[in-house]
Amino acid sequence: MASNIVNIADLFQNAHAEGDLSAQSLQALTVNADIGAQIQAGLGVAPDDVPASEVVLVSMMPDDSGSIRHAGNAKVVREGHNLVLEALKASKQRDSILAHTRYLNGFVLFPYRPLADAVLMDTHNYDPTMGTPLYDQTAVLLGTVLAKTKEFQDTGVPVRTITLLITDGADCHSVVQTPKTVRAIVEDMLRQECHIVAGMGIADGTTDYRLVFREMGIPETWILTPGNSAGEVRKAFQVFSQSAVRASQSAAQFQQAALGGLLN
Amino acid sequence: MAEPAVTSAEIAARRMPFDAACGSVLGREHALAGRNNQDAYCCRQDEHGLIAVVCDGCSSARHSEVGAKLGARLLVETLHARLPLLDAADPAEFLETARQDMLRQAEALVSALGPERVANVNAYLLFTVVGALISVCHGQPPLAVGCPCPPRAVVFALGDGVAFLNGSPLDLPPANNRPPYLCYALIEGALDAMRGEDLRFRVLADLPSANIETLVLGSDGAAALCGAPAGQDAAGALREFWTEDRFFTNPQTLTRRLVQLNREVKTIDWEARRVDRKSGPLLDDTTLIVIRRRIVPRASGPC
Repeated sequence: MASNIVNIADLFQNAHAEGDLSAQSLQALTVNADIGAQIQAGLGVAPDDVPASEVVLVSMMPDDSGSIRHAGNAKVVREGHNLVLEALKASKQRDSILAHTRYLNGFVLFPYRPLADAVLMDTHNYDPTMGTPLYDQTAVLLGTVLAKTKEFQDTGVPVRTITLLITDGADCHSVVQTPKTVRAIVEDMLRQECHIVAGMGIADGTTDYRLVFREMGIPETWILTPGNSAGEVRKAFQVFSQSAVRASQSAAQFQQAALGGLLN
Repeated sequence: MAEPAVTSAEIAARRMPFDAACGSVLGREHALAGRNNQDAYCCRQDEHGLIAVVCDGCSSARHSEVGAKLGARLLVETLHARLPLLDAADPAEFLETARQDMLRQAEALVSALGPERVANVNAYLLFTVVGALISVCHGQPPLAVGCPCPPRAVVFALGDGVAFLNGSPLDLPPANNRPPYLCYALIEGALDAMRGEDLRFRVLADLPSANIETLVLGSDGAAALCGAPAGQDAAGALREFWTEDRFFTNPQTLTRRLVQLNREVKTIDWEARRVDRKSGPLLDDTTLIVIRRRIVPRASGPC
């Protein structure tokens, strides 16, 4: 098995030098050494160990804040996450898909790995009791997506990515990143035309998620705002999983999905 | 727990003392012209041995990738049917018989394509060939030493391309952009411009299989990776393909490396507001088959 120790700062510097990453995004993704270490923890499998001619990276960041538990949504978030993985496992392109899940408070459930080895969420590995550092961890997750993308591209492998951020509240614990810095990263990603970033805001009765995600640069067509009931959250995950499966099928389908947004 | 079932292909692969890696990339000039990759390769190994063929479709023909792909596959299957006879045969005669078989199959194909025979051959069936046959011994280990027909390897070509045996280049005549194509033999009058023997497979090497450590077969596009900059040997950048294990552990790695070598590297000088672009070296489609003696010795078995 190939070693996968990657110099994250070098990857981002090269991406900046090649015009894929703006100065603002570079600054956001290299703001301190800690972010590099967090990104490294999510990189997972080395490109040489992936026997696919092209790769789709599917990344999810389920909210593990205490409000999920208080609202009684822990079960449906677990099921929704697992539903997405199962839908991808049943797709024709499953062998070229790598998945990665990092919770909103930084716990890496599993780094990038083949779908067959993905870890499902259960009551033992998901106990939502923490805070909502939405911007900080979004930057870490998107940085991981960008680093993994660059890693594959540098070895001659075409890459497409689909990322889902899940939250049931507005940011209240970020200390480094802001909507503006996250927006710079998302906009750089969308410019590359090989990334999809989606946001799911589970209603808390006060937050305008469309505004939150728009400020983060996420296109309106990739924002889900289910109500705070198990049925609505489950339906939102179904919509995302169908959209992700469609986008993963081919480069052409991906482009259509990226422009067209979520399947309704 | 029960042992997982072993397929016949896996058993055959274990018997072969060689690993093979294959890959191909679209050349930069073809990409700029909106054309596709006109190279093809086919590699097959089983209990009889290993057959590898690289075909390069004629650049000026409209659909030569069709012939290259069919040709590589047909030639490998044709040679495979005759491989058990290789060890006792004259290699030139062996290849000539295979060529006649190939031409019969190509003739049937051309006849089925309609009345515009010459146009169809020129549009679909012009391709060069670089190939190799490696047979394996079927006796028990003591027999392998003094075997009356020791396992044999033959490297051959028809047209231009690249071949390196044990790190040294094999002599392929330059085609001067006018290579002899196998299927010219199907067109009356095409032979006027060249001698009949030009359209036969040329034996580049004939040696005992035991003497092969590495063998590289490539389309002429791979010549851009050869050459000898100061301090390098003739194999140049090709050397990494048989020295690095990763090409033999992941079937995608060789293609990925060719893509990586040929990608345009863009560097932005933000202060000077200037974009520098450095293109890859592979102008023409480039295809490689790399064969290497398996490094991990087998505990037992023939040869």
